[in-house]
Amino acid sequence: LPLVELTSEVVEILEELERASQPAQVAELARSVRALPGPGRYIALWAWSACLEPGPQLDAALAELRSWIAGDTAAVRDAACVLTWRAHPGLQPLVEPLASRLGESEAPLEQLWAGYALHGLTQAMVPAAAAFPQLFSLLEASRGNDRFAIVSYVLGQARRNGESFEPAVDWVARTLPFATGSREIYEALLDGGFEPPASHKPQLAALLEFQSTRSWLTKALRSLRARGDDLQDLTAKVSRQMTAKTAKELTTAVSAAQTLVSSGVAFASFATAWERALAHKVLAAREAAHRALAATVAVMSSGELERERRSATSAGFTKLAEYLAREPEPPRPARAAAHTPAEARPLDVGAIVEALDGDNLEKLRWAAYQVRRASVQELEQLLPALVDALATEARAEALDQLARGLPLGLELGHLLPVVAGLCLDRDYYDFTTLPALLRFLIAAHQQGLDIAEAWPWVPAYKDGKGWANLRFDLAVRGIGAGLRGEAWRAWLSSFIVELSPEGPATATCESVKNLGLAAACLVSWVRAEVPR
Amino acid sequence: MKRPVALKHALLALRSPLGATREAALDTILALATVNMVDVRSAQPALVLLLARGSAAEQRKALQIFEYRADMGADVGIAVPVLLRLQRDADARTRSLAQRALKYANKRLEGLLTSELQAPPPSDGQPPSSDRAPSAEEPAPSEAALRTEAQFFDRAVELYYQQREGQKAEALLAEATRRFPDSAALASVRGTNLAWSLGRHRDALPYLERAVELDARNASHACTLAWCLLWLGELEQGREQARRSLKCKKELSNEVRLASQLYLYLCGEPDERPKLLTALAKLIHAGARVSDWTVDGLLEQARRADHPEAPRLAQLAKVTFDQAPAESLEDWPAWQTARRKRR
Repeated sequence: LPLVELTSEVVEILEELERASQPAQVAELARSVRALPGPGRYIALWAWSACLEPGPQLDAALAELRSWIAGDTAAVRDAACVLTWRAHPGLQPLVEPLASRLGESEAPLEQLWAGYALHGLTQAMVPAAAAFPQLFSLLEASRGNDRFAIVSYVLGQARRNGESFEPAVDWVARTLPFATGSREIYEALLDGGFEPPASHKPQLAALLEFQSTRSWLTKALRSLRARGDDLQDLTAKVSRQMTAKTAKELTTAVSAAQTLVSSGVAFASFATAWERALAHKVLAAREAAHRALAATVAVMSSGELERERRSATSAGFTKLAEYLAREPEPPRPARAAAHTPAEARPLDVGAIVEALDGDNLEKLRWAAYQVRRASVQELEQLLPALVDALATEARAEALDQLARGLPLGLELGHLLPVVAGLCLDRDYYDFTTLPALLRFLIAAHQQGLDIAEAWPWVPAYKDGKGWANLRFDLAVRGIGAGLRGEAWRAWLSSFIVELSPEGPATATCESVKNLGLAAACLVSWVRAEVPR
Repeated sequence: MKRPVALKHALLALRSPLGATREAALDTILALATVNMVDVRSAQPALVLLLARGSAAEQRKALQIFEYRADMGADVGIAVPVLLRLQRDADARTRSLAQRALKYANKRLEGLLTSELQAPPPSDGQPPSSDRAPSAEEPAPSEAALRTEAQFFDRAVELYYQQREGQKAEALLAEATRRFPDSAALASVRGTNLAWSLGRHRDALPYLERAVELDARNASHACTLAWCLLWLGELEQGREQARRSLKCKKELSNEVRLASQLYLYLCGEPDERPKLLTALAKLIHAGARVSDWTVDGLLEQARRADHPEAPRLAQLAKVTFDQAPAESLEDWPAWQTARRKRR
């Protein structure tokens, strides 16, 4: 990364941005930023994106972004980046232009970048209802193809943001068979009192075999029955499926039968099918039938059971009758609390110290776990043993507990050389120790302690991989406090890469976010180095 | 993770507010680390605290422990940040110990510290500080004051290895082995001094055998005995000891592996050689080297036995002993084959 060359340009952009008052200046700056070569332009782009913050430049920046959103793939990508980095509710006017780029006629890469931009906005609680038709349309067209997973991410985030999906309920229903997110939305709608229309029945029927949807699907089917649908077509279809020869087909059919009986369909409707399933030649099929039957009869009253048994006997279904005649398993007693809640019991500091100093790994882990509820006075008594535990398998927990002592006012500055050393220690060199180390250093910095000794060794831990969020947190603090170093520069620069919307959506979201964080750190680094 | 009782007591004593108690605990840990080869890893966090904030005496003892552990190939990464500080210390001995520990730690950390390592002090006509006799401010412990096995061991190593005073070391070790007849470490160091410093390989043999007898699971003792036997032309026994050292678990560092495999390559059976050369290539590629050692006698034995690669063996030994770069073997076809196999 030609950071040195970029230095002056980024600083110039920042200075010009601070002076820019006219919309034309903001647009002019945007053009010069986007014309920069290589992935290094993302740093300048991050600097420019400051004008998206609420303020006098916002309107000009919104106008500029509209033109980006309407532009080519690179322009939509840049828009997705800046919107993710600076998302806030004031950017809602851009939802509709972004939605228009999700249309069928658009290029897939542009659809994807528009999706990432919407995801960035919804993460900042920006309402995305205006884009629902296009999002669901794309979801339906892609039939749950992983390539467009970002669409599900946007809808899922909108659901978590509490947006109403009632106007889009038909879209939701149509995507039920292949989109897990739509199932969650539909469940939430049912919980809110929504009554499914008969037109949703085919999509609901497609979910009959899934255990995960049974709880709310039962509710939806009951609602359909209450409005006059006897579900006879589904019953007949499932009964037919239960006569399947293969164990796989039969397993799904008995699960569907269980759902239908829970939804109020008569048990006797499946009697023939149960009888055949219980006599299936494949053990796995018989076991599946037993499981489904056990779950079905578990919710029946003894009167209902007896009636069904008599009916099965008279119809000559011996296996089913025999099964129904079995004594129901007594309900398992609720597990009694083994002992009083941990919080209520006083901490045995002596026993914990002994276990921390001992050789028994199980006790050591127990002791380290117990320290979680130690008060500040108890923690102080435990300090020497916790320090020694840093050379054991309970290192991460011990470190976390020591980190807990920092905001409680314990004087732990003398431990910093040890913690710095843990960044280089290859015993228990794992991804569990890493967050504990970072949390300790962040807490130490918050307490005003000098973390310079550990600072150079943090990027190299596990080759810079893992826990990027905590590392960035530390980076922001360290750079703000004037700490530098080639290792950190290289680590931050490793995030400044060309972005691609292809591949796993989580990875792209992380790349965009981390690129912004890295750019923010590098800009603050660069600004401090260049005399103003 | 079973720790000896002595180590547990020492760890508890390190928490004492009394300096004398802590120093005694450090002596115990040093003795455990150097003599009985106990894994004192669990003491490392407390040792780093002393290294960073302890008294000068505590700091020096903690440094000795880390330097010894680093030399043995143990992980001392936890002490590296403080060692980096101490490599610029005003005291020459502290500097020297820290630099040596860092050198070994750097190997283990695959060169991560290279840019941080302090260059050795410029030569002013005197030997480097680490090889110099203790300065006036820091007098050498008098032989009469030596009490423990560890103290004898340290002093002997200092005499024969750092000061190259083999005769003085032999005198001291004669007394030491008389007082501690069951110490494998002292027996081994006496044998090594007799053979390596004084060239008295035949005289060294009983001590090296005694060390193996006392500590049969120690790879390092078996390796030194193998070296001495092969030097003296006792090829069969020497090979057996070298093979045994590779099977021992105790103190089987990469250095010991490298040395034993080199001895077997020089004086072993012909059908073992390709496999051994591949193993040597792997270790050398991983950065393993044996410092300050010689195999002249073994090279002679190899020549006498018409070793097919005889012209290359001296260069292989130089690379093994860090006197030549590994690239100098690249024009050797057998080495190239071994390197390919390694991959």
